[in-house]
Amino acid sequence: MTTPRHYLETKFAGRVFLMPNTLDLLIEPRENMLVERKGRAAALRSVQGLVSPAYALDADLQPLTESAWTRAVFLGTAAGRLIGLLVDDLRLVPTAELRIEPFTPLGGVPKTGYHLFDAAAMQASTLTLVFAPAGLTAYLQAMEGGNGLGK
Amino acid sequence: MALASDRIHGLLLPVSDRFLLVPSALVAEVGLVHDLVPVPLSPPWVLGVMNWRSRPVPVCDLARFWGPPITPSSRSRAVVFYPLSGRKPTEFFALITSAEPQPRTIETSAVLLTDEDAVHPYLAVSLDIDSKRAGIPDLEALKGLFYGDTALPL
Repeated sequence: MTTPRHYLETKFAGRVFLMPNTLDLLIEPRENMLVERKGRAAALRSVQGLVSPAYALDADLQPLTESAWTRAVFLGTAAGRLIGLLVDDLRLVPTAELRIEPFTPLGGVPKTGYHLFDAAAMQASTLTLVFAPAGLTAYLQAMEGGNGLGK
Repeated sequence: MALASDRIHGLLLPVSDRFLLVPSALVAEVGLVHDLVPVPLSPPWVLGVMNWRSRPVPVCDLARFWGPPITPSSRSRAVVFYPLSGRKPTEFFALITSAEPQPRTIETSAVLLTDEDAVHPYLAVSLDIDSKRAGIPDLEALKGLFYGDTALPL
């Protein structure tokens, strides 16, 4: 696996998570999105007839009904099937500024078949979890299908 | 039932209403519990992940499988274990205890084995040590709980 030059630091629901900034990501500002109003915080990106959803999550990664999101991070551009995460804020962090260590969450692999996290960025005494793009993509797609979240 | 060896050098870990007896060789360090970061979608026995020597180490509360869960306090300790056999060398994990673990050398002749928890999936052996209820964890079962897809409901 190629080491990314940057990580994307996302903030939502009072938490911070990182994800590797790969070519498979796309950032869309709120003003370019159609806000969905079906009881949960979600938005749609519609470009040339291709409609892609994005969802807001709480600190436990459960669906939110309200969110102060400003941008959407879409994953899956390489596969041509975008799925997005709504975030309050984000910034790029150079990999050189991070100490990334592998991490295996305990409790078995979720129903989606992928762990949500596969690494952590270590700070002096604490750490920030790093999303596994495949795990986050699968998790958001499960929301899209209404198949239930989590395990 | 007989234990395989005459003497066990271990740590007695206070968890819930009993102790866990673990070989000292499995333990990398005993330290304070600090700055637990919650891991979303984890089972309830995973309290979070902590920064231990610049490694992310998940911290578990196994007490809830036998009794009330441990409420982390200033007396609690995180017992960091080396990775289980067959796992990646980075996969350290920690168990939370309700108090400071006690180093012990156990003479098997002085141990009374019980069948109280013989069917418990996470204990290989249950025993009485100086009138204390204790159990030796079943590491293969723990490996299944931690990494397999056969996690048992609480």
